[in-house]
Amino acid sequence: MTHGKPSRRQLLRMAAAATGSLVAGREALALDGNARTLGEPLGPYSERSPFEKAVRWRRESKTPEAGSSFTPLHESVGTVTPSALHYERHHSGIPTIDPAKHRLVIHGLVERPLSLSMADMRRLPSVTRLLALECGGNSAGEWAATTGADVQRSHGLVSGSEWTGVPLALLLADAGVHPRASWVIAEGADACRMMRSIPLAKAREDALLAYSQNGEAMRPSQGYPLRLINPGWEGNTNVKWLRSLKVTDQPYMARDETSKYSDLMPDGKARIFTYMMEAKSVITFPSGGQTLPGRGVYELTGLAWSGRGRIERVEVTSDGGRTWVDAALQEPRLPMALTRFRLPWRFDGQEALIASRAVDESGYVQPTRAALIAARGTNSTYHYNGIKVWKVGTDGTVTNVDA
Amino acid sequence: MSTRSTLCLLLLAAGSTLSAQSPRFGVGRPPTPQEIRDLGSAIAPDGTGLPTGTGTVAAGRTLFAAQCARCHGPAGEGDVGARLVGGQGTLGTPRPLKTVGSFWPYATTLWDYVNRAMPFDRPGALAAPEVYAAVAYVLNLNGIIPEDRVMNAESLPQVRMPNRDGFVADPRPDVGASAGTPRIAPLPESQRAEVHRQLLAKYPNAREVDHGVDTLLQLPALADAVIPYTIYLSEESTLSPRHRQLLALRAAWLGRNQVIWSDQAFRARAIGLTAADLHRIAEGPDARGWSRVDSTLLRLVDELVRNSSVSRATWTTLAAAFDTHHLMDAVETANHFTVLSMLYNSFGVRPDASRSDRLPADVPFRIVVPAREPALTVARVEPLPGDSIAVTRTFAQHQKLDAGRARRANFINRVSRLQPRHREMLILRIGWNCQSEYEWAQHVGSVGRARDYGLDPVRIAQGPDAEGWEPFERTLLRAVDELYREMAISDGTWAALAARYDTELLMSAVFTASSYRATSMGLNAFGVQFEPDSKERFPRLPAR
Repeated sequence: MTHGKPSRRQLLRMAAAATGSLVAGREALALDGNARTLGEPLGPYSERSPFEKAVRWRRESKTPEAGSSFTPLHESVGTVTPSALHYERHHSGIPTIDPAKHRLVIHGLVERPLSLSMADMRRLPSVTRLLALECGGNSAGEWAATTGADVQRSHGLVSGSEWTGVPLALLLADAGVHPRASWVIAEGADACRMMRSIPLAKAREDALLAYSQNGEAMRPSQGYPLRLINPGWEGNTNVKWLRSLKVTDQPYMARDETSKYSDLMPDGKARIFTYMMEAKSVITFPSGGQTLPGRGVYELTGLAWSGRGRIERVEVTSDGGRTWVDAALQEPRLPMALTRFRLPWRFDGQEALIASRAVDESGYVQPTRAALIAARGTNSTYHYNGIKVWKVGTDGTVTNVDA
Repeated sequence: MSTRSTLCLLLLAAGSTLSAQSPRFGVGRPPTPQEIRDLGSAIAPDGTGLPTGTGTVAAGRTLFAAQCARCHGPAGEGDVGARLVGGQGTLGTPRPLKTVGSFWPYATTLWDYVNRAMPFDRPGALAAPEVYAAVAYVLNLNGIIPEDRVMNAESLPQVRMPNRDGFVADPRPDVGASAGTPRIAPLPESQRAEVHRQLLAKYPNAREVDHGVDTLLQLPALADAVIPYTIYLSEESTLSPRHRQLLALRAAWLGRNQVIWSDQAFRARAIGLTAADLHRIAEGPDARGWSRVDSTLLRLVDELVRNSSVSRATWTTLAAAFDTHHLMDAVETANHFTVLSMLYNSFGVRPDASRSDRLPADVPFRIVVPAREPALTVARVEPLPGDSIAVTRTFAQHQKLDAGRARRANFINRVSRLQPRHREMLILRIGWNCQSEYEWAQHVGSVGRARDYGLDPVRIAQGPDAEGWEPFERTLLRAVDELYREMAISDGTWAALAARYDTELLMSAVFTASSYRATSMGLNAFGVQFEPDSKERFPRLPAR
């Protein structure tokens, strides 16, 4: 520093010079404040700051091994969900599996049935993909008149992760699929042996046998050590703790594709094998339960995703859908991944009805809740992707307008 | 070595046999018989995989009481566990009850699920005969099998569940699909024919000035009626570039149209307007920092869009700075870009990727204008002397504008395939909405001859909800009202129009209503006075 006020160091030097001793210099240092204590030593595996409190939410249950826990989307930034906050949906608890003992068996209508260890899996060519994963029942409560009070409860069964694993197509080719085959029955190693029927076409197209999530082995709650990933499809088909792939010539009509995860229409018929998660978006800030501290410009932000590919466009309204403007989309926009959208927005103290509307590369436009209900009634439970409206009150409090 | 190069080496090693079969990695080994057995049995709906063993309803009753009732209730009525019984006939009601009896399509699914997942806290604990027994009892509880029916690998797949035919394939996308793609797609370059190439050669800069042009090319005659006016008002009018851009951008803002905003903002930046200036245009005439003329030009657009007329104060202020040609150009710039907003909003035109400006998001949509003033009784723009009607003689003051007006009128009245009755309905309804009594008088009277097409002016004034309209005509009037109020046509109304109109008629109808909105705005602003022989006036509507 060459001009202006003397720096702290210069002041210390002056103090030392005035008393003519280095000891006095140390005293001068001490005068500056309390001695600082050392931080924590280096560690092997990091914890987050004790000041960070974001956690998953779950309902109280008499059977805590079965149910869902919801990602705190209102705290989300960027496009990746921390593994520790990824939503969960379990049917009979999280198994503890020793990867040294785990095997995947590919059998049924194949020429060469295969039993693979995790070490075998790691030898095979792998791919890495950022993908959104959404439970087929995410936002199920939105069909009803009274809906989630905050974005964690209304939309928290979606998360974004980077998955690494082996393309299933590669192993199916190695096993030699019988020409008669058309389905693959996937089964997990959890206590209830959760099972789903997957069309062979999807298995060959882009299904992944994932062993890694966000740069490390996936968490037990996400299927450690091996999980089927079906990009763009409802979470339940992404069978965790994968132990069996049986190639067949028919779907097995599992409980979780007939009794559950089928979509009941107003005429009493149920749509079956509704795998695709269609384009959806939601504003995560400002969202239900939050409060804007005052008037002024805020960065309105949220997430959009589509099972049909890239998000092409997200529009935002602040007048309940009368007018829409485009939000900025975070690049790169990856197909079937979470896309972050952002928009500077001025809260002028007037009540505002804010919502987002996603358009994907197929041209599909996220529908209104009314349009969805007009097409499907209110009893289909799954695949709700309607536009979500939050109300910003004159005092800045944000509430769920559909409540 | 990376996995990619490993794969390449393997592919190379496979050599000549590559075409015969897929590459084999040779990883893993055949499963042992024990491994296959340990996988348990997934049961197919045809019974494939069912093990030997039998179970009776009576045995199932005992087992159910001991192992299942604590969660599912003694009679399967449900508690912590799902309800298993009842609900048949409720699936199509507002309160469907989905149980094994009412909803599950296959009895094999019940066996498979009980075997793999029940009891909840000890899944897999039941032996095959116990599973058969539990399944028999639950089916019996639902009245699906009688008390004496024994369940085994042969009998179970034979059970026909009540809701066996209750499942249908996924038909999605069932909503949202059409709205995303433009309603009228831009004409791809590969589909350009001679007529399109000629048009683009005639107006070489058209696509640079306005990226909606590719969509207009779907109807070349319409494109030819619109493009030269867009170019004139964007590039050649008597106004300064700054004033043109202020007017066009304010019209795009009020018209909520991204295409025009992005194209005109691009032009505005080229002449030195900043992001802050664009933001202030959205904020409107009362934002800080505008000169008196700038502010008044923005207010001119606001008044035209909201009132379809121009207040005395605004006109007087502008007239102090502008000559007649300037004034007419200013009004027509606001009007024309309002027309384009309605067209592009309705056609679903998307802004071009090369134009990055978007309507500012953090500015509330607000129009503050004085109340509409009574219609002028003296012309503001003096018509030239002559024999033709007043509107022609008024526009004749400014040849460039007159040419643009004539091209639009020619398309609507001579080229468009719209039925005259529909055409006059669109014109009269927008004229009523904009309160242009001159236009009304002309089109009920000698120009439009509405009554000759069986139209009752009173019902047009009453609007789409008046009695007696057939459904499609109701839709036409509704489309006009939506254009007037919302600057766009809603999905439902568009779908109803598209059910009967092809692309050409859809484009013609939207253009007719939009163009006559501009005509009404011009007539009101310039104070065009009634023809001497004109008798028709706005009807007095009966109280409703």
